[in-house]
Amino acid sequence: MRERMRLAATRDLELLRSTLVAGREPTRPSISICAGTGCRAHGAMDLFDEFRRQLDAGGLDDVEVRATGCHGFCERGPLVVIFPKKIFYHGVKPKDVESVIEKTIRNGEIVESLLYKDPVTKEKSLLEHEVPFYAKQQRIVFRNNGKIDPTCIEDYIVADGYVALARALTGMNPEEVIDAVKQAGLRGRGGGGFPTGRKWEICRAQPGDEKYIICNGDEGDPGAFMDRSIMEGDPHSVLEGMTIGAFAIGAHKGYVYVRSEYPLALANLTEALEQSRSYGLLGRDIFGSGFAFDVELIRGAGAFVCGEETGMIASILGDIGSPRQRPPYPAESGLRGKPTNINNVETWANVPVIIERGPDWFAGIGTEKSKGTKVFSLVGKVKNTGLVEVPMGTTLREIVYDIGGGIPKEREFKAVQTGGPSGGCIPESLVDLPVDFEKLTEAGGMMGSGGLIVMDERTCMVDVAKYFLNFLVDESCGKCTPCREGLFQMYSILSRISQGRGQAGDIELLEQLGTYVRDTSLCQLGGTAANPVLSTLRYFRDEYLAHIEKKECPAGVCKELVTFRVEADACTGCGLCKRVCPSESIAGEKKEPHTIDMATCVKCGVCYEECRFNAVIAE
Amino acid sequence: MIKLTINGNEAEAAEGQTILDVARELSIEIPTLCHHKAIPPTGACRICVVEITAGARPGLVPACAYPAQDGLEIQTDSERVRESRRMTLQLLEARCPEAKVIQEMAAEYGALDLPLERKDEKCIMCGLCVRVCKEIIGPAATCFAGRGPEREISTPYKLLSEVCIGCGACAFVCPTEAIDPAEFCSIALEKIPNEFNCGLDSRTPVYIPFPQAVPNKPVIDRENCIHFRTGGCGACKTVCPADAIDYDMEDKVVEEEVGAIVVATGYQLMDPAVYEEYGYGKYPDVVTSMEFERMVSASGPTGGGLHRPSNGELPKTIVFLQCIGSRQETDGKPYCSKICCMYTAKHTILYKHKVHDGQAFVFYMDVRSGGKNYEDFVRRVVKEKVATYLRGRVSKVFPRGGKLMVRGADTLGGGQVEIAADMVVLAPAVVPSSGVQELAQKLRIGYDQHDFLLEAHPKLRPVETNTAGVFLAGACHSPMDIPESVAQASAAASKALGLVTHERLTREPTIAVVDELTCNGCFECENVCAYKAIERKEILDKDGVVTAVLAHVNEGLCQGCGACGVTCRSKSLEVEGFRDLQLFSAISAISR
Repeated sequence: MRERMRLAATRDLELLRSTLVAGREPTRPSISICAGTGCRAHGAMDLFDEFRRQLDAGGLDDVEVRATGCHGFCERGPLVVIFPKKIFYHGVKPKDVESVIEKTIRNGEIVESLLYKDPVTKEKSLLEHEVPFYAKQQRIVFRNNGKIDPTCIEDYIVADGYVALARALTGMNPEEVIDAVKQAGLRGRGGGGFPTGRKWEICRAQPGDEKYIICNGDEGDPGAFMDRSIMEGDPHSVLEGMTIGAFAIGAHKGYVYVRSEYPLALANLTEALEQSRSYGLLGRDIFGSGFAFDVELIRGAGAFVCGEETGMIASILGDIGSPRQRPPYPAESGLRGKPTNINNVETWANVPVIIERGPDWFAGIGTEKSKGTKVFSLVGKVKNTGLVEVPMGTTLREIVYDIGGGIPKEREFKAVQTGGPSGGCIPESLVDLPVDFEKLTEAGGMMGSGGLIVMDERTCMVDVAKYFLNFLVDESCGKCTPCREGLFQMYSILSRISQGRGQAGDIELLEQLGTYVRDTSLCQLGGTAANPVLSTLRYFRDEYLAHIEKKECPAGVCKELVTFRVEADACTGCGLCKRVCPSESIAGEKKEPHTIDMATCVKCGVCYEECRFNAVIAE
Repeated sequence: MIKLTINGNEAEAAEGQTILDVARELSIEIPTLCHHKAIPPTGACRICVVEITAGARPGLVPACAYPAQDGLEIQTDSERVRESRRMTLQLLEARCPEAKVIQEMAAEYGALDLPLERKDEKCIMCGLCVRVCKEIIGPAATCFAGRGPEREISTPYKLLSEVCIGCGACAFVCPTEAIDPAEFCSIALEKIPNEFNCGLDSRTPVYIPFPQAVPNKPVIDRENCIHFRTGGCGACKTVCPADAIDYDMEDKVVEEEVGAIVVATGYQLMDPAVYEEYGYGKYPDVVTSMEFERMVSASGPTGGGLHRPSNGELPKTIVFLQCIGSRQETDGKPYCSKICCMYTAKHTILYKHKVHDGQAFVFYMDVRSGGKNYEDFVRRVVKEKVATYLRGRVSKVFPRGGKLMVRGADTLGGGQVEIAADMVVLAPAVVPSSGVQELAQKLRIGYDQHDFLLEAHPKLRPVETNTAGVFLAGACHSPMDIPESVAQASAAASKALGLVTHERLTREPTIAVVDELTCNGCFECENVCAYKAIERKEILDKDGVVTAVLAHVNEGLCQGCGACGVTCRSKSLEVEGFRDLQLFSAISAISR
């Protein structure tokens, strides 16, 4: 490990950077392996070890192997990129290592079988940015993910890291920094979309010397992992953004609140903090500017409600993470009663780029009111799941079809759920909606922290609402009556509807309760918690009515309302359903139509899901 | 000054006031559940929501936790507000169907019986108990546990609390009586017995000693006050609108120079537990007449409801036992307590008012009803069969089958009787208040073998004592009832007034005088003077320096008994008219 010298002035950073760049030969092959959580689950670390072992054994110990942050295309992991040509391989297994080294590293040839092949056009893509999944993306927040080793600050410095901090601290005053962020039009990426510059300005204007900033890394939405990937893959961009923000606000202490369920984010942030301190990028007199700032890492215990800013402040102080009534807002009275500014991970990660490339550049991206890009975690019934970063204003169609590759199994696209558990469902009819803060809210969804869950025709909207509500009932802190009792009652009504015990008036009662919970709850968890119900009622009222009046689940999901049978004409007798049935309720000879014994069927729906000939009918 | 509009009316608020504070000052009714004036607000129950229509983001906000701000326009009773409150109540009623406070509010807001899932909770999760413990009392013994609908009131790790001080504040603030401190804490809750109600109920550490107390103001019982015990709490100071609570106040010794003193220290009842045969202190249904008096009083612990202390049932049979300790030569007081016959007769009537079909028995030795119309009253009780009077003593009270068996002699009917009673009321002997001896010694007034204070003359000076200027009133002198006490007190008052309203005191001429030329200031005389008439007189020289302290006789107090003269070694004290020289002259004249 190199000796890290304190960077006492901007010139020291430039010197260090040129030394580092000089030490790296841009033409030498190197291997970058995605070591994000998704690819790790696919075995990326074994792959990393295998590459290193075989390279060393083959006398190629000068070829660098890097474990980088998440590349986003989690569906196809583990992902490997071979530099300098940036050849993109997906689904690489340890058994492929030998051919990659032999062909690509030694001879510059391509391993065709590992290239990405478009499922529709059957065209192969050689380079990462040629893959359709990446082609429509614009990676600002994820600028370094996939390129740098997140545990190596030097990688970040080579990628122009901390240039923005140096510029802010030595070339700008705090007001200029705030103006730049305001001019860029950056809005909070945590869900609210409050203008970040304005937020900083309010906090700066508060009297007193003791102020705090907090980075909200308590990403709790099921299926969302944008912030996680940033913290894991590019922790320094968050720290740099925080330091710039602290300078603008006049804070000298910052906190990063990360849930304990993110061990890699915690590890990489811890490492990053140490490295920053050793270079003097945190601590006293940063870049000789006289400005002092340090960051403490707080581990949260995984309560969704701690993502609410007052709940988070309580949690940082060791109290139960229950929000409190605002006003006073944290900008006036937050942590320890002092002015406190809280921004989400993605917001902080945007800050260095704005300073580095200028507010005008940033403001040129996106729509009139929503600037820059947004990272979405695209999951659900879509071919290419993963993290996508697109300019604000990109339509849902582009995200779902062009980037996501459409719906698997040639099924119908039904809706997309945006904004996490307390977001809303946007129906197929609005698929050309350009995604920005206002448009999503108008349509009954919300930006939230950027979850996008795609649903197909076999998704029951009552079931979806029930699922999210169940999550929110569990995650409600239970402090205020509307959220605690109201959500519980709504869940109980949804349960009875999905079980065929719905009664006339239930829809109206749900709407009444939903409006009440939205209007009366103490914090925004409750304030938005009714969205899944209200938005599905808005667009899919028919489905609710079918459940209540006809006791039918049109999508064939709600167990109590569904029976399965095999359409004899369509059944080829392949036997797949028989194999997957957990209760052994399916019988039939090979190549003969199968039958389902409803007496023993547990209605799990696996046969319905798996049948390739749509021969299993849900009624 | 903050200016805002509530229900169309302009209002002013001070910095730090909430919407609720301002509304209450204007007498605008806003319901609350999780709010308590002494505890910082939390805005959890959402019953106090009001509607902001302008001046801030429009919508519903909790009045208790929302600060008053300039330019706010607020509606406290709009349809939206009422609808929200109704829904809150419908939800809370579904959770806690038995909670009275919720039922009442729900009725007021026209709550409907919605098809909601019912629970059977007592707690509405207002969190007052947790907050009072943490933020007011201090130990933070209770806490929330769990999330969402699973949220509950608990202790850390659900263990019996070691930091709980057993103050019971949590139960006190709970609006739905859902808290039993015993669930949290191994320390038994310290209930402070209400002295005025004979300990039949409890009181708080800050309390008004008794109804119609003079002055009718609360006092703080330092021994039990949390603030004095732990330095915490201070809730009474927070809530007092007059800012009258001053924890630094100390007891003071007040010295006044007075011309007369009336002693009216009253009486108490002797403890009947010394007579084990009656079972007082052992069986809860055996009570004293004073306890019975509080039980049937409308201002008493039960609000006038008469119940058996053991099980709360109506006592269908009651037995009154007279002369418990009175007229007992051997193991009690030989005198008659004088008031018991009459109050027992009264108690039987009160009992009949409470229990119309009840049966009352009175065991007596003699009915002593000497007083105007007294005999008529007793006759009425007997004649109208309010109570059955049995002449005789009770030998034993013992429990049997949930009842108390009273075994006694019926000397008129002959033989032994046994009554199965629900309650037994004892009439213990009247004794002087404790501590009267010390007082008497201080005042130099006499007292008899029972500590009743002595009058100067039983017939001619019944309210005066032997010490001039000290008078007696009421039962400190002897057992007496109210009319007698009033009469005596009036007499004592006129005597005292007779003393202090004249410009000059008249006295007997035969009092002691000091010969200052020979007195050496030994003050032996001071010790023997029964009337506290010897004072200390400073002799000053021309520069005002004290040269000697000599005895001086207070002419108003001296009774001329001559005890000082006999004691004085320097023969400096003589009684006027009985000086040695005068006596010697008289003797020699006789013997000549």
